[in-house]
Amino acid sequence: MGSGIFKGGLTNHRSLAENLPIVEEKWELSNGCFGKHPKGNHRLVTDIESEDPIKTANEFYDKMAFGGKTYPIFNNDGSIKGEVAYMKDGSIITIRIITKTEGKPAVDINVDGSNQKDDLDGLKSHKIHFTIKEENQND
Amino acid sequence: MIDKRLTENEVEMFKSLIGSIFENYQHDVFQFSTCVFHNVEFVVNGENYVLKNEIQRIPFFENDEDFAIFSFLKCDKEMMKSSLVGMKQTTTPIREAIKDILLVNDIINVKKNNAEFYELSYTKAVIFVFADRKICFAKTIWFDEHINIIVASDPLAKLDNPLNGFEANDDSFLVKGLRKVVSLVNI
Repeated sequence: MGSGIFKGGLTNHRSLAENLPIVEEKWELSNGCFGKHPKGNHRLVTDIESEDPIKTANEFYDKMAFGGKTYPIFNNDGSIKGEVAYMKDGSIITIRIITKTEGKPAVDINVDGSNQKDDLDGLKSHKIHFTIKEENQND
Repeated sequence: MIDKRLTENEVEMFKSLIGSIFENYQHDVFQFSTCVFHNVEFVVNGENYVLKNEIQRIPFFENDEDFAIFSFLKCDKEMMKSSLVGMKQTTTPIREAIKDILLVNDIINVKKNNAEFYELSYTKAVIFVFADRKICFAKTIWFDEHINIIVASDPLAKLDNPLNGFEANDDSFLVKGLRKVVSLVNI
């Protein structure tokens, strides 16, 4: 990290547009956002449910940030809080393993500074919470 | 109303800097954009200051959310560093008197079914005014701790719309954004 090697062990810096097709193989991009909108929340905050939210958050982040320049983020007590990835196009992807919001992991996508917005399939800056999939959602 | 603008003490501290020599500012090395993570440090008249953009959990529409909020404080030399391990910092010398400081405060007003529902005010940007240029430190989208550094004659024109990032999830909400610019030399 921070050594000239990019995420995934690559020696070339990648832009977010190069990674989106790989991400979209697994997660649908709908109205510019990944995940679904929880009831009563905000347009740019979504949930991705799974049985293991931390694993899923890491998997999602690893695909989004592949080939990015990454730096770890630490808490004041020295424990790891997450990681930020700077992509070649100016997009910024941040993962927080433990957030202030109910301890759910989250990935922040900020494409406002991207110089390749036209190549991002309409992707918007948004925040994704990774939550536990409820077993009986119809109950 | 939820008020997350800079506090009165922070505003007074900014106001006290007017007329002083802004020696330099320090921040993470740019990474393909002019956004830097979490904090920017200033040296004014030999004193060290830090502007932070830090996550707080606040009520947000119908839920609670992590929202990045500006804070401003005097600091020791040891605090003049990146919040990212392994990130290099760069120092930009200014050596000019501060003529004015502009605070850009955004107000997000939300109505639900035409009734007042939620209002949030927060400081979007701080602009240092010098004789021939302005340097702006602006929050990026509300959930992100990055700070966008804009050097321009009119940085206000380069800020995103106050409504950017505040889209409601359904048609029962009506969201309005208002921007107020406060000149500290005039208060």
